[in-house]
Amino acid sequence: MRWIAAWALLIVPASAFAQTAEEDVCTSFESLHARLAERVAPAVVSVHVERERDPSERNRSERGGWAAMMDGGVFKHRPSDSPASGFILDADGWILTSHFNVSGNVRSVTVTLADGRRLEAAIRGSNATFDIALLKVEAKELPTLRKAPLEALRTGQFVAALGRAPDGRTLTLNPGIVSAPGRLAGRGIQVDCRLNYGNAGGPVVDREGRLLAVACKVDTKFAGSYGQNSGVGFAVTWDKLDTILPDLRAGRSVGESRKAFLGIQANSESEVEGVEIDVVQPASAAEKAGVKRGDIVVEFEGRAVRNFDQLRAVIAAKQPGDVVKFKVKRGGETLNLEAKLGWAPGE
Amino acid sequence: MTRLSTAAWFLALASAAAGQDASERLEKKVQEISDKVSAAFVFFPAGSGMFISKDGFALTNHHVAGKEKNVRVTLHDGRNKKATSICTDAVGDVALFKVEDLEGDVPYLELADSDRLEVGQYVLAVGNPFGLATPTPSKMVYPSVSLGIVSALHRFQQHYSDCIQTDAAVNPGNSGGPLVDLRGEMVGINGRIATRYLNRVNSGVGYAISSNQIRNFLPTMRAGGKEGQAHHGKIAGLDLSRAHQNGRGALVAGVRADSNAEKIGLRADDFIVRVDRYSIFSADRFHGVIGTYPEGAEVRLSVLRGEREVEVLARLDRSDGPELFGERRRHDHGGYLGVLLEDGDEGVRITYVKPGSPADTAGLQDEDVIVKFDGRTVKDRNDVLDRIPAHRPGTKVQIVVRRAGQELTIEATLGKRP
Repeated sequence: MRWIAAWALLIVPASAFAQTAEEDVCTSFESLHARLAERVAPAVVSVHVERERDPSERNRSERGGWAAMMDGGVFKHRPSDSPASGFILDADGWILTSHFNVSGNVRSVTVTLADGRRLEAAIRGSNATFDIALLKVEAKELPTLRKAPLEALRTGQFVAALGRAPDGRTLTLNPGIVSAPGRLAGRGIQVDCRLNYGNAGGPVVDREGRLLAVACKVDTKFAGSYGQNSGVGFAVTWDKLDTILPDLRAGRSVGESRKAFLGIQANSESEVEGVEIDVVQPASAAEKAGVKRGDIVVEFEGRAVRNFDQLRAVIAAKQPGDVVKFKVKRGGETLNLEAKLGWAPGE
Repeated sequence: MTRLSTAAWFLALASAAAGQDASERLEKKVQEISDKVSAAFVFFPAGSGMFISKDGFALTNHHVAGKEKNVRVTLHDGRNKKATSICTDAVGDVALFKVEDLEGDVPYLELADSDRLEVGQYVLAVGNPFGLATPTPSKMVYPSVSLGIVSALHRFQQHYSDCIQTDAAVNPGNSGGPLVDLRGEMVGINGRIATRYLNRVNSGVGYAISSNQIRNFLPTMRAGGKEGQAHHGKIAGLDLSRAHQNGRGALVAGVRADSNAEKIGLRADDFIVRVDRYSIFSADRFHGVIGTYPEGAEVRLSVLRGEREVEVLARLDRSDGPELFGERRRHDHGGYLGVLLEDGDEGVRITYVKPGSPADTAGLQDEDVIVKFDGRTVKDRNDVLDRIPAHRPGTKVQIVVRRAGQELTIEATLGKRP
């Protein structure tokens, strides 16, 4: 073994410098990915949740396909027996995962470590806004991740999202870049990694395998009704998580606090009675309801609409998921529209 | 074995530190270009756009803002400005705006020579998917950047007649934003995505209008076109065979008497094998290449006539776009709607509404899915295309469409074929 190592030291440098530029590019990506996988793997865990089925989940799986899509059916929690990822936060058995993974009526949580150990986990605290939950397992000297400096975080930086298959053995790696800083109302970043449901709760690392952020919010609004990834994924950066960790450790949980959102901007220069719409946000509740630029909202939930501030107040009093009825003027016609309110992009 | 991997590991680290790692160099490049493109990015209402000159000319898609005279746009530094329409190309899906009251020069992107692109080459898509970009505390607004490759070139997708296919993530809201190469030049405008089952998110198949097509149109568009519209070119009176020709070229089925096609000397049974520097292997490819030129452009055709190859110079007539590959000329006196259609899993989808056409007047829109035509359920695209001209011009027809999950009944009065 010793001899092999010695030979390797002699041979590898020579061949490395003899490589052509093309070979260099190809192997450099493969070795980058392999290096990341090797470095990060020990700290990535699989999370298995036993929970009561959600009524919406039953409805969806029974009806399936088109019917589920027409419901606009959205999972509130991770369904039972569906794979989830998490990672080791510190050596004493603290584990982070997504709030989505462990919310709802949970019976038990099991964590499978990279070495195959399967441990019972307790949910210590969770925060729906950050989409983060803190778990605790009884173990010592667990491998952890170094943290990446965040001052240098820029659009275009290489990242990788890691996860672990339910068997606990298989690591998943999805490379991508930082698409934009300053998303999730300043709590996180946008990445173009192919994030799917199983990625939520897994770490997003830099090219050195250091922790940047935690993958979250595989938002059905963006991912479409089938939960397919759209190349638009979000992750909460570790510095923002640090601000809520003391609460989580102390067992304090924060529930859902998203504001209802229709997805319109008013034309501030308009002088018509009602609210003239200047922008309809793509993929928003307003777009799905068929609202068009230039429409004038004249009535909302049975009350006459005078100005945008008033309309905004009425929407703010609603919850995401509420169905609202309203009237718009388009050309000479008055149309009755109905929208299922969502939440703001990236919230 | 452990030692071996440790040694390799050490070397990998050492070479990375010495700047040997190509992935690190690419990362730096992507970061630099992301910064450059973000600085020149223009946020259009519910879409994306890009400065292409220091004095504030900006491009977007026709389907984003082409129908508007004025829009408010937001710049990377958070400034909100008025933009005025200069010209729009409804068929090519490109609109040119001038952003006003800019204090001094703005950063902009050069248009690349898109014929130099190769399949597999890295590209960046920059845009505002799902309207995610909101002002940050520093007032800066950040568009989203995704990295991918050129998946295919010269794709013929009806009115996107010679487009670039990319796997860089492109989603609703990216429309009008640039596709950029690693030189930081704009190679196209992202405008469409292939989707299924009304699942309007990226599928890994996005289409961009090539920068060379845009360059062909820019002189006309900067001059304001004709009343703010740019028109595509065609050779009037040229009838091409739809039969497969095994890659030999575009077979001329006939030329109309006294038409441009006849005047420039084209004849039945000619094979058009080249248009300027582009080789032509089929009728669709011919339409694809011609679709990248404006009305009035001069193109040089190479024609195989028997054993001889002859050169033909053509000045292009005004095209009505859709008539080339849309509604059929089966009954010349039949009714006309003015749409392009595509068969999708969810039904027959409208991909283009000709401005000013009966379809436009009736309020039909891109992405509408036709469920019923004149009281009967539609089978497929050909079924609709057969049924439109079966009515006389002036006939009122009821069209049931699905739009954003709702079914609407739209009454259209069929017109005369232009």
